[in-house]
Amino acid sequence: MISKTVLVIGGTSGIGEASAKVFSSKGWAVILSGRDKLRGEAILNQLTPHTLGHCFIKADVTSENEIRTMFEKIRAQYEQLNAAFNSAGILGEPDNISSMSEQEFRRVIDVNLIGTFNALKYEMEIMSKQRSGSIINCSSIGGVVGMPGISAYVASKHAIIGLTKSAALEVAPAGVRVNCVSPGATFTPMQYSMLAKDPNLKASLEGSHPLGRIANAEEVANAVFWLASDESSFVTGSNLMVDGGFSAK
Amino acid sequence: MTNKKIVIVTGGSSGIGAATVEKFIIDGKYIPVILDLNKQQAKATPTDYFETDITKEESIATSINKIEEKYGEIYGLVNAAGRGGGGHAHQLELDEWEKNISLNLTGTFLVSKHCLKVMIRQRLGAICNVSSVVGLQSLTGATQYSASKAGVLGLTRTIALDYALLGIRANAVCPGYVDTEGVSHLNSPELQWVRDEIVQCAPIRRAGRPDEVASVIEFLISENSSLVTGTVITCDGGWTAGRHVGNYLS
Repeated sequence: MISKTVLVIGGTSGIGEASAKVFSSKGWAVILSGRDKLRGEAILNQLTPHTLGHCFIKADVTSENEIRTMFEKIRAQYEQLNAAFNSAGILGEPDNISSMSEQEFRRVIDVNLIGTFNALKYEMEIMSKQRSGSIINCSSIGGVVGMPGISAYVASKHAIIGLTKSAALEVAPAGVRVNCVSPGATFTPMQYSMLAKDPNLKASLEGSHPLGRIANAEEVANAVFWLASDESSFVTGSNLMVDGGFSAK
Repeated sequence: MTNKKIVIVTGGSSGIGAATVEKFIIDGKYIPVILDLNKQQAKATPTDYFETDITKEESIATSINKIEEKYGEIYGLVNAAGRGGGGHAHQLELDEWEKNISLNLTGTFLVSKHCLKVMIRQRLGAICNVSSVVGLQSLTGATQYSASKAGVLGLTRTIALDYALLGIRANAVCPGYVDTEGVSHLNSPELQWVRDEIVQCAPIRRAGRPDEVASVIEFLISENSSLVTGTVITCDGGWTAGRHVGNYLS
């Protein structure tokens, strides 16, 4: 029996939710975290049962206080934290830079970048003490190319790649790995909100990914699981594109 | 006949190639078929072997034809055959340059070419090329090696774009320093310092093991990476993530 524990932040929808399901199907105990308690508990019921039990901890990544409290609970409840997936993210209201408010820009940076930092900080501390662990941050194809109208999202996702690399270097001597996954267009609530706004978007997204389709969240989750597992033991500081060839063009 | 998938591994008799063959066997879902000049010693079944010179198109075409005849399909291809080599450009003899380019780059192209013909008919296939961190950046004196491995990345991306809609994926792995037979000369007392210096390039401060690269390759061939194409996975213990400049943290 594998007895490994993963923390999935932003686990109440999209890629985080799909990842929680993949981890539990592979025999891991899942700590699910997000803002929506009802949704979190509903997802717990869909996970493959584990002897350690899965749990949901309500926390907003933008609150350093809530994140600290969450990690206190984790330290008290679990002997070890083998992996963490920081997938909380928002797109923000699409707008051109010239008309975007500072407040809206900050809101996106707060969740995506500062939120990742807040979680990373405690994950790195716990795992350095254990002298093992694997952390996966969530960037995007928007982390490697520009996209008009979603500048805050793109800036935050570019920053996550830099944050990942620096974090990897800081904890490599302790045997802790930090990597990043960069999905292309994926069927998630975030993507559905975009698709609903533009009837032509689906076709043009499919056309811009050489595999000719939009991804299922499980396909990204499989890559996340692999980065969490010992199969990737020499991989650190990497950004894994899961984008159907989008960035190869 | 069998529900195991046929995966060709060039250079499968030693180093990263041999570790990949072993990984596929342990995994149980594949039959690795080795294309190499010499047969691997005692190895568990099921594996198959076709003596092939990766620098000769005729030899490659003959082997691929035999494999297709025997198994009727080729699901995966791992281009792991390669050689090291160095020298400064102004002193480098053309034949030294060509030895490297013809095995590492042209060989990868030729085996891919002949496998792609089969994969196109199947509308299914996965290719994983073994490049190197030295294909992303370089090491002093790595002239022809760096050029060949960088070339492999361009080839990989183009194949990924050209055949994506035919259900064929192509990716590359970029290992850092890995202990293999190919670099065993660096374990000699005179050259140990070179090995130490290269190992220190990785923040993880150890050399990689062939099986750690094999795991990346297995992932890129498997269905778990169904959306991953045209990309590179570095497997380098953090080598290319950046570097510490000074000791301002301690």
